[in-house]
Amino acid sequence: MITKQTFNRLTDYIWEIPTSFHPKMTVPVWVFADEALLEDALGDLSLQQAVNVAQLPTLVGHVAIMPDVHQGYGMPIGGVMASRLPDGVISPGAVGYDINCGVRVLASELDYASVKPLLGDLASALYRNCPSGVGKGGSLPLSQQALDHVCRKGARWALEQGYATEDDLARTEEFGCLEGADITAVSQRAKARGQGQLGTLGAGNHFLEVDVVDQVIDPEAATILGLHEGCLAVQIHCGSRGFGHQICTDYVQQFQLVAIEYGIRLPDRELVCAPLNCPEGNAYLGAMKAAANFAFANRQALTHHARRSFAEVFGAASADSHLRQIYDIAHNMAKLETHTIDSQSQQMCVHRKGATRAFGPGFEGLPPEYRPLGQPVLAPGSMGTESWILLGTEANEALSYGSTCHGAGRVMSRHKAKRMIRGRQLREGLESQGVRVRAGSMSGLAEEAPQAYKDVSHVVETVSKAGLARKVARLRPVAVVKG
Amino acid sequence: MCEISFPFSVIIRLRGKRTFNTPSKTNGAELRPVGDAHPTVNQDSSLMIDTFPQFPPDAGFEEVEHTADWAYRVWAPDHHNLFLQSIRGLYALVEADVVSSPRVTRTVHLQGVDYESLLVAWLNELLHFRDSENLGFNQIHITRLDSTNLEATLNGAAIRQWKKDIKAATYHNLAITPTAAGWEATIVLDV
Repeated sequence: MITKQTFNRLTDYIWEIPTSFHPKMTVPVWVFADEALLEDALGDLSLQQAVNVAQLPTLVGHVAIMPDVHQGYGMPIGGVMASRLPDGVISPGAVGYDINCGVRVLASELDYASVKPLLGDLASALYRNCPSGVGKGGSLPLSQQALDHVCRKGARWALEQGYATEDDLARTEEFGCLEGADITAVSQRAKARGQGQLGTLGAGNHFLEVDVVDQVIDPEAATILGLHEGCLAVQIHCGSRGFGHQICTDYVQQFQLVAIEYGIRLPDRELVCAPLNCPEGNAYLGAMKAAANFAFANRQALTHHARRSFAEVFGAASADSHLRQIYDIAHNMAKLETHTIDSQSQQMCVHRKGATRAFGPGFEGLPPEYRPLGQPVLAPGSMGTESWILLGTEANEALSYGSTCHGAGRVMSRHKAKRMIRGRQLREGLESQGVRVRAGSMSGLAEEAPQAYKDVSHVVETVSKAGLARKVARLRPVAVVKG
Repeated sequence: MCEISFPFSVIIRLRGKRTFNTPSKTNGAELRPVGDAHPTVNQDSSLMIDTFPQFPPDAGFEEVEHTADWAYRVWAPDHHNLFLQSIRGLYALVEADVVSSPRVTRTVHLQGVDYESLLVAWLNELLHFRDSENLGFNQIHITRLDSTNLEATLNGAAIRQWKKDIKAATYHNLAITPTAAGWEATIVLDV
């Protein structure tokens, strides 16, 4: 059993579970947390899940656990693991079912105070134009051939269709397209699910939110990013929908036999994995990239709908109402990257599940204007609470393979949240605070109540003090759209 | 061969006590919490939508607390009934409901490396039918089940209510373990 006595306290914000804790651990676990967040993490099985991850073969360095960690399946949400290349493993379960689930932030120059009377109309337009909710079909049905193009090109497909700008792509992780997507490695079943779901938010914790930039911590960085205090911004949180879910399902199932064939022993079968340099591991990587590209295109399609909604409400001619992309990041992904461990540069496969890439200044994968700053990080809070725009640091390279938190992190089960909170009352409470709510399901709303999550500002303060990211600006919600 | 048939016309609700085993009435009744009387066993293999199911008295399911996703425990005297309870639990969690007609039949043949892999494949197969064809099933015949094969015939109809998106059934800590009364497993769903 993991207790506070299990840890070596490396700093006030880094707690180590050493390999001596369990005979099968191949690397230690580093938990980034202050004492209060560590207590939260000990409240469920998330750290036991991290110890399971640390038993996988071919890992390097340490397993990094973010302060927004919570119990998931296989790898905890808020976990980062890295396997060595070329013979290391790749694990579909350590990426998650919602491949390239991520967040996009857009910003306008519309002054909140001036447009406040129209926010109800805006929330309704967004709810109408951005399909959300359980089983909702897509706004952009795809032929088989079009789906293939989406999978290969990602957000670039959306650009060709008129749903994106070059600026959008420049301000998207990997410029909105992972090279090497392999549609032949995707099952017909996954394709069938994907064809009808492009341009949908989905349900669960996915959302579209209108915010006001209510505090700027770093004015210089905020100006370069395009964030203006008092102006409206938009967050879009969703992923690859049923397409990605099916790809993960297919490979988790297929790898059960593959792991036996390669003699891989697993502490938890959801962590099933295959060597990257074998045909099966390589096939999953190609399929995962196809799902990642689908997700980039999905968020881009929703961006198009959000812009359409703004134009409907505020007028197409207004330059102030144009939603300019700040950044788009994934928080469920495996990437082949180079990092330095013990002063040695190594190639590795970094799995981030509920964790965000957060590379520091100078990273060439950023648009030129962002390079001096570092990669933007988008950390949404729970519904009705603040969210944060951060920047990656140089220091996190050695700490977490250039990774940081992805949001607030749950502390309460959905079941308990529904027992304790009534969706209708929650909506009334949010409305009374000036947050317009458009939601398809009151019970779904209750599950996502702020009380079910950690305090995102506490999480962000911790990643800031731990050196994983630095603060730029805080957003406050004024309208929420959920399925 | 093992069969399940249960009413969708009454929405299966998990409210209040969240533990269920054998239901108590023969027609149009809600599933009842543990402790209710056992049903009359009906061996008819062509049960209709409102015909009440027959479950062994020592089979059931209950929701288990999980921080982010959904988990539930299922138990039954044998593997066949355990697999049937897994579907019953899934449908109850999402509060599934189907229309009365037209009825449709689908067959499945799944292969796995053991019972656990078949259980995950089985649940994901039913999720696939919901996602791809919007179908739910309340007459299920498992015609073959061993440690590497599962064959079943499913009879059901279009879903008119499904309250929760389930991404997938997972393998997380999944083990079908023997108990004094049969078998049990705890299933984690990614939501």
